Order: sequence, then C-alpha cells, then structure tokens
Amino acid sequence: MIAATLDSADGIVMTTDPATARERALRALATRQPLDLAVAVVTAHPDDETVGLGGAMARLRNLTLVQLTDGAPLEPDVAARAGFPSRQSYAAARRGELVDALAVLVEGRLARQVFYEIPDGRLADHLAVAVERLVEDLIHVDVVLTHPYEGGHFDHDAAAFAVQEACARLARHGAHAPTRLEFTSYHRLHGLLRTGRFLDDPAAPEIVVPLSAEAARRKEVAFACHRSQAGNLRMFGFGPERFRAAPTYDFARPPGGEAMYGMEVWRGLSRAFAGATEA
Amino acid sequence: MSPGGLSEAGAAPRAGWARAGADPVKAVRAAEALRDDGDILGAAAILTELCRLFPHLPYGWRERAILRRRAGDAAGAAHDFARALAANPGDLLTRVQAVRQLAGAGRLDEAQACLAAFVPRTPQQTGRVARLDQLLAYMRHHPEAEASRLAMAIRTSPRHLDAAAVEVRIAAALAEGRPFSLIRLGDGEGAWISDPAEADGRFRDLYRRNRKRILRTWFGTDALIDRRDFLALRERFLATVPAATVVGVTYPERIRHEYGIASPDGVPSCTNVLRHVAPLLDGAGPSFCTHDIHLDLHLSGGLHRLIGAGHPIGLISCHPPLAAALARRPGTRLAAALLVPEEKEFAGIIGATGMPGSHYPEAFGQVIARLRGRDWTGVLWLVAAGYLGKLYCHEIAARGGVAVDIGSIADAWSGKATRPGLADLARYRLGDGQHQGARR
Repeated sequence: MIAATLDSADGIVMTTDPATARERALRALATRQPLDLAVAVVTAHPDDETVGLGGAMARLRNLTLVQLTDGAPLEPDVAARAGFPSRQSYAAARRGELVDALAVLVEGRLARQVFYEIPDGRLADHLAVAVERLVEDLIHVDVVLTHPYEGGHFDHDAAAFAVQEACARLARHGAHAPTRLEFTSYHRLHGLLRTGRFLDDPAAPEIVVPLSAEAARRKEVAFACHRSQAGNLRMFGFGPERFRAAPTYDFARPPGGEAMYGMEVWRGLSRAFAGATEA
Repeated sequence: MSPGGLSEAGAAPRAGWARAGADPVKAVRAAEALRDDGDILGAAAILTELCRLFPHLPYGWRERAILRRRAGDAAGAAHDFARALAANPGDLLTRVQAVRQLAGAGRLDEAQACLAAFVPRTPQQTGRVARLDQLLAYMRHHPEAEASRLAMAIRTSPRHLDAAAVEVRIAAALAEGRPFSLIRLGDGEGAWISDPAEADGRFRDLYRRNRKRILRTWFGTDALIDRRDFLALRERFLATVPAATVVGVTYPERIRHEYGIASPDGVPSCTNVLRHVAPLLDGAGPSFCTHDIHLDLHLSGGLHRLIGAGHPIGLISCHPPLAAALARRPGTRLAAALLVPEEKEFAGIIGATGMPGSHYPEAFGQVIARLRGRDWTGVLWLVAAGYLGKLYCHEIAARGGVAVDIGSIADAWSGKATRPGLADLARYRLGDGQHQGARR
C-alpha cells in the first residue's frame, strides 16, 4: 500500500499519483526496464511513434496508442505523388504500415489502439473534438507521452497542445489526469534541422536512452514498414531515444524553436489553440 | 397455393396469413417475426392456419406450442408438442422443446419418457440428449421446491436488504472509511459455482456446456474451460463470496421462471448459487440483496446520490467515454478509471472500444496490478466487469475501498441495451446528475 489517505494537495486519488508515475516511468525508460503503468502514446501521424520511441515501446506493458491523424492530407496530389489513387487509399495504406510496424515494435501487444482519423495537416481544424476525445481517453492512463511544442510540424505542436489541454481539463474537473512526458520529433535550430533531440531547456531535464542492439534492429525493421514514408524517415537515425517530463507550455507564445511551418501558419495555429482552450 | 387459393378452398384468410405466403417455412418465419414484434395474436393466427393446412408438418405445431407455453397455456402447449412429435418423431429440436415443456410443468416422468423415446443418430444428438437427461436428473435431485425454499430463506432473512438499505450501508462505509464489497451472482457466476462431485460426475456434460456457453459470451472462446490458471481463478472467485459485505442473488420469482421453462443453464446456475450462499445465513457472513440491485439502485436514485456525495469515484468498465461522462457531472470526482475489454457476445452492441484483447488474462492482470498499487479507503468504485469484476471488488475492499458491482448499468449509462431488461434505455440514462438522486 502506498498511502492510507488521499493524495496530497488536491485531494484526488489516482491509481498512481502523478509524481510517482512520472518518476517510475522515467526511471523505467532510463534503465530500459519494463513499465507496468498504463501509458498512452499520443502521436500526430502514423510513424511518429516509431521515430520517437520505437526502441522503448516494447517495454511498455500496458500501452494505449492514440493516433490523431490518419497520415493522409486532404490535398489529392499528395496521395497521387505517393502513388495512391485517393486520399482514402493512402490513409488505408498508412494504417496498414502502422500495423506492420507495431507487429515489430510491440508484437501487436497493445492494450488499446484508438484512431481519431483526422486528416493529416488538419489537426488544428479539429482541436476541440480532439481535446474532448483525449479527455475521455487519457482519464484511463497514468502516463501520456507525446510530441514537444517545438515548431517542427504544426500537427505535432497541435498534438502537444491537445494533450496539455486535455490533462488540464481533467485536473480542473477534479478527475484523474495522467502525468505528461515527451518523446522527440524534429525541429530547426539556427537554420539546421535537428532530429532525435529536444530544444534545450534547462528547466526540463531529459533522459537519454541508448538503443540496445535488439531495439535498434527492431526500430530499423519498423522504419522499413512505413514504406510510403521512406523518404522522410531517412532524416532520422537509430541513435539514443530521449524523454523528459513535459513542460507546461504557454501556447499563446510561439514555440521555442523556429517555426518551420512559418509564422503565418503559427498565428493560425495560435488562434486554434485559443479557440480550443476551456475558459 | 396462394392466399387467393385459400379463399377458394372456403377458408377465410386470417389477418397475417397473407404475409406468410403459401410456403410453410415462410409462414413460420412470418409468425416468428410477428411474435418478436410482440404481435402474439398475429403470430398465433398464422400458425393456427398453418397447422390446419399442413397438419402433417411439425413446424406449425411446434411453434404454436412455444407460443402457448409462453402464454402460460401448459396444457395447450403439451397438446401441440405432442402433435409436432407425432408429425416427426425424429426431430430433435421438437423433442427437446417437448421434454422441456413437460419438465417445466413438473411432469418429470413424462419428460423422461419422451426423451427416452428418441434414438440419437449422431454424436451431436447423443450429447444433446445426455445434457437434457442430466437436466432432468438435476431437477429431480434439486427440485424447484428446494430452490424456492432457499430463495425464500434468503429473502425473509433479517440480513436481506432492499435498495434503500444497501444505499445506507454503502454511504456509511464511505463516511466511516470502512471497506465494503457488493457483488452480484447471476447466471454466469452460477455456472462456476457447483458441488465438485456434481460438476465432475452426474451433471458433468450439462455443467460443461453451460460453462462453455458463458465463456464464449465473456471471452468469445471457450478455450479457457480446462486451463489451470482459469480454474485456479475460480477458487479465488469463490473466496470473494463469504468475504463480501453484500451478495446479490436470485429470488423466488426468478426460480419459478427458470424451472417453469426448464432452462438448462438457468436452473442449475440459479439453484447452485442459492445452495452455495444459503449456509452463510447461519454465521456472521455477508448480507444479501437481489442480483438486480444495480437496477434498483439506479431507479431509486441511490447510485446517483452516492456518486454525487463528494467521495472520489473509481470506475472499471468497457466503455471508454463513460469515465469522462461521469467526470463532467457536477460534484462528481472521478479519481481513477480502468478499462477492460467488453464481453464478446455484446461487442456488436457496445461498438468499437479499441481494445483488441480479451479480458482474461492480459487485461485482468493489468487491472489487478493497478488496484493493488495503493490504498482505496474512502473511494467509491463502480465495477462493471462481469465475473472478473467480483475479484476486482474483493481487491478494492481488501485495500479499504468501497466496491459496488454495477454490472450492466454501465452499458445503459453508455446508451447500450445489452440486456432485455434495459430495452427502455430512457429509464437508465446517466443524466447530468442535476435532477437525479432526489429521494422518492
């Protein structure tokens, strides 16, 4: 037994309190030990999970994967350039690629898999719905891992917002909210693209987890499963994976990194954030 | 023959017959459709016409017998079953129905004779006959009078609680920080409560069939039936019964119903539950209520009052949106929520939950691990997790918490009518908590 009374400050009981969950999760990730806590991985696109934590996923024993977009943009020429006759067939192919990758990464062992099926690139247009659904889904887990707010891809930044907002709503309603962690994606710093790293933030210490040979092999095979993304995935290597407790972001301000998608897009994103923030 | 032909033959077509066409099989289907829509008279009209036109066919007689039995006309049902059997003595389906009709009417010797007159021709028929034979033996060995006596002993016991009393007990346990566990034992649980000598002996085939059926309902497969870990779990389940604070069991009216239809699963399941718990009346064991207490607590407003009383709430269910729906209710503090895969028989009704696995063993192990992670004193857990949910209730109470087995109410709150009793979903809405919970 952990405690005979309710948890400290807010009097809320949880299956595992946030501080303990954060500590246990980061320790398990750092030491490459199995983690039995209920963990949700929330990603913007199919393949983000492979990039960010493909080596660590196998050790998450109670894993829920929440896929926010279907990986297929609305613009028909994108599907055509990827060799698909329609957006729908492109989305179906990406779903299939994800299933293949998960078979490698976690041998299909998922406690739960949820697809929000928002078109790729349009997460900001559906933020209110995404946040509401995340409230419903994240109430069941102890830990949520998602993208950092770093200006790399606007869907990634929207995902970071949606998770922070959903957790904040749960907490405001006096409900169980998971502790928030982050995995790496990509951003631009001093004009250069950086992958597999966080923007430097002394207030948010990170842990660095080298891949074992087996994890690196699994990740490499999983990369290959995302066949339609082979070009993009060449940007990412099989170096250490990094994790950290998620900072509490001020989404009214631009991301810490350069907005790779441009400030005009960020201003639109910012309006979407404001519109989806609960008063 | 067309309906017009019927008129030419001098018989005025009755209402509904025109829908049946000239085909006897279509006529039976049309009657079944009417019956399922609640138009009993319309169904009866078709079947009566069918029996008159095709007296040599068993279908009409059999279906009319079933209608008459449901209507409480035992003598009429027996007559029609006899005609059906006379039309086709080798039809096992009719034979089974006739045997159950006779057994349900308490005519066990005639039922036995009726069954003995059938000569099985396939292994499947042999198995079915053996199970029916064991049901008759069970009903002789544990007659309705015995089951009713046990049910009445529980109902009239000072330890039997109505919904209001159960609510008071739960509220007191929460207020005083005492552990509390309310579990309900229905048909599914009853299939796993039995005298080992009976389970492995004279009623073996009957019990195995019932266990396989309920395993398929729960998990979509009966592969667990002989698995040691699952059988070991049964011992843990049995231990939850005397340890519970309140146990919901069947009641005399239900016993009458199950014996009246000679239900192959209902009779042994309900009776075995009563046989198992009745000795607990002699000691300082649990209190009792009906296994429909979850419905009563909802309808009385008791559940809503308890949820809205300010205690932290835990929820175990298969409905992903339900926890957040509870959390949105003013005054409700949803402190923990655990998901379990749905009962596979109801997967179509419940809809996609995103949980690909089975409740046992994977999800079960994860839920138990999370429940064992801390103390639950002062927390009201609503547990909707079937057979395994009894074990969750036990774990919660063992850690100081208050666990209430809410069963299918969670389905109803999620807008899913998984049981016939929930057909009127409007009565079982979760609501916003604003206008619920007032004492009636």
